[in-house]
Amino acid sequence: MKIAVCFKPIADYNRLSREDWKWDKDHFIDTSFVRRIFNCFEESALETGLTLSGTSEQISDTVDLTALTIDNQKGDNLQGDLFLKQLLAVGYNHGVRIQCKKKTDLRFNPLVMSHLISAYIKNQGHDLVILGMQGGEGDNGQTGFLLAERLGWPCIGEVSHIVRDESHDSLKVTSRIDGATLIQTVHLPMVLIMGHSLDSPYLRVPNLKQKLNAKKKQISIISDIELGVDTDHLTNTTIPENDKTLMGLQRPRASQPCVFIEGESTREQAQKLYYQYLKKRLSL
Amino acid sequence: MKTAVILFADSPSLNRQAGEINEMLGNLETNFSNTELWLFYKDMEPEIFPEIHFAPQDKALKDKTLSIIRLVAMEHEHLSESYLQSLQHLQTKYPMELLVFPSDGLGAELATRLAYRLNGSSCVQVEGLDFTSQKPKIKKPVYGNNLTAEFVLEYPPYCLSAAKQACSPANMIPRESVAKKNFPLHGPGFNRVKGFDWIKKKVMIPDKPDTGLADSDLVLILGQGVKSKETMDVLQGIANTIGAQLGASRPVVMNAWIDMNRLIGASGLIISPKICIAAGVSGTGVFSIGMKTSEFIVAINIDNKAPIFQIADIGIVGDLQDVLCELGEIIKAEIAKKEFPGAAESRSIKP
Repeated sequence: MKIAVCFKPIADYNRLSREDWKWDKDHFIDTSFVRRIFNCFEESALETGLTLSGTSEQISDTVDLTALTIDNQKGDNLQGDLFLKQLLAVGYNHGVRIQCKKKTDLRFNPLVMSHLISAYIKNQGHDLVILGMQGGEGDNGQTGFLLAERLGWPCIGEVSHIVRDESHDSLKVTSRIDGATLIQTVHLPMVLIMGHSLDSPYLRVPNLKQKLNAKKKQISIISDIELGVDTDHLTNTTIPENDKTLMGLQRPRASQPCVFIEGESTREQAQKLYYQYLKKRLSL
Repeated sequence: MKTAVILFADSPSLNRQAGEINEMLGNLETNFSNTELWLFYKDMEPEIFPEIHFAPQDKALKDKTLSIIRLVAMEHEHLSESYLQSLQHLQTKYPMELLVFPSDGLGAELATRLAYRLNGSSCVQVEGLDFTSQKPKIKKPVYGNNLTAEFVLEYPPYCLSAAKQACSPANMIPRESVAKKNFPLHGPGFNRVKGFDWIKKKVMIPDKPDTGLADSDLVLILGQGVKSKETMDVLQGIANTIGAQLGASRPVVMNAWIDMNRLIGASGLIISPKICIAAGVSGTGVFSIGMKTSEFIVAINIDNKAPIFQIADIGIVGDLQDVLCELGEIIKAEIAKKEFPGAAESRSIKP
C-alpha cells in the first residue's frame, strides 16, 4: 500500500502578539521570527500514516509512506526540509518537497495546491492520500475535497481514526458527521481528511539513532514545472486558477480592556469576583 | 440574485445551521429575485421547516421570504457523491447564482466540490457577504482565526458554506404555516447515484444525548493549565457546585479528560452563555471564536500576557485551581445561606 500524507509547517501563531499581525502591500505577514510547528490536524494525519505502517507487520502487505509538502521559498535549510527530516527519522520512507517559484502566493489558493498534489500522486501510483482538515495561513479547509475531485477518488472528511482491514486494499475509517460517528470499511484508492483524532493526536518523537540515520536520507525535490504545473503562470495570468482574489485583511476589533482583580490573597480575589461581578449575574 | 439554501432535514443541528445562514444572509441589501430552500431528507418527508430570511428582518422587503421549498428525497444518507449528483441535477434544472450550504463538514465539502464541478467559486466558513459591487465580496477567518480576510469571488455560481457562529436558531414552522406551499417532490431520478461501490460496510453511532452545554447560562471552560486528570475531577466537582456546565479547549480534550462533545472553538462548539469562566486557557484564535460572544467573560490564567485577557471582561492572574476552589466555597456558602438561612448564620459566627 502506498500512502502519501500532506502537510505544511506553520508559524506558531500563539507566539505572536497583537502588534505582530501586520502586513505589506501584498498582504504578506512576516512570521519568520517565530518557530514553525505542525498544524494539529496534519500532525494527526502524519502519526496515523505511521500507525498504518506499523499494523502492516501483522498484515502481509507492506506500506510505503511518503511525507509531502509544498514550498515556495529558496535555500538549503528550509523549514519544510527540517520537518521532512524529522518525518524520515520517525519512519517515513520518502520526504518530498514540491518546489514552486519564490513568492508564488499559494496561501489562499487550494485549487492550485490540489493541482500540484494531484499531479504528484498521479505520477506515483499511491492508493491513499491523507491530509489535515484545515490549516496553513489561509485556513482554506478545501484542499482535500478538491484533491478528491481532481483524482476522481472518493473522500471522507473529519476522519478521527484509520485502521487496516484484513484485505490489503481496504481500511476501516471512523469519521464525524453532524450528530453521529460513522465507521466505514472502504476500498482504496481514496482521500482521507483528518479532523480531531484522540487515537493519534501527536506525532511520535525520534530517538538519537533515528535522527542520525535520517541525516543520511535524501529529500526529493520536484519542481512544479517537472509536475507539468506552472504555478507562477497559474497564479499570475489575467485569468488565474483561483476562484477568489484577496482584497484585504483585518484584525479583530479590540475589545474593552480587561479589568484585573487584585487582592492580598486568592480568597480575597475570589470574593471580589463573586460579590462585585458574578452575584448579580447568577441566579442561585 | 437567484439563491438556493441547501439544508438537511434529518440533521440534529438543522435549526442552528439555518440560524447561522440567516446570520450570514440577514444583512444583505441585495435584490433576491428568486429564493429557494432545497431540503434533503431520507425516509420521512419533513413536517416542519426552518424559517430563512433573505434580508434584514426589520425591513418589509417583499423578497425576504422563500419563493419555493423543494424537497429532495435521498436514498443514501451520508454519501456526499449522492448529494452532489442531486445538486448538479437541480442546478441544471433550476440554475442558481448563489448556493448557500450549512456550516458542518458536509456543507463545506458540498460547497467546494459542487463549485469545482460547475466551474464556479467556493469558499467555506463564510462570515459575511456583500453584493453591492459587480462581483460578490465575502469575509472569512484566516491565520488560525487571528485575522479576517476579504475576498472577491470571481466566477458564478458562488457556492458558500456558512461559518459557525453564535446565532439565534431559526424558527421551525409547521408545513401548514409555510406561506409558499409548493413542495415539488423528486422521484428516483435523483437517486441513480453512481460511484459508491467503494463502501464495503457502514455503521452509524448516534452521539450521546445533548450535554446542554450550548444552552447553559454559566460555563466553566478548562484549558491546558489543568495539569492532571485528578485536577480535572476536582474542577468537575466545583462546576457541579456552582451549577456550571463544563467545556474544554483542545489540549484537555486530546488528553481524553473530557468528552469530545465539550470541545469549545472553531472545530467544536460555539457558545455564548451569560457568564463564561475560562480557566487555564491561553486564548488562541481558534479557541476564542467559540466563546468570545459570551455576555460576560472571566479569565483566570497564571500568565498575565495570555491572549485570553484581550477578550475577557474580568481577569485574575493566578492558579486556576486555587481561585476556583475559593470561588466554589463562596458559592457553596451562599447557596447554603439561601436554603438554610439559620444554619448558615450559626456557621458563620463560629470562630
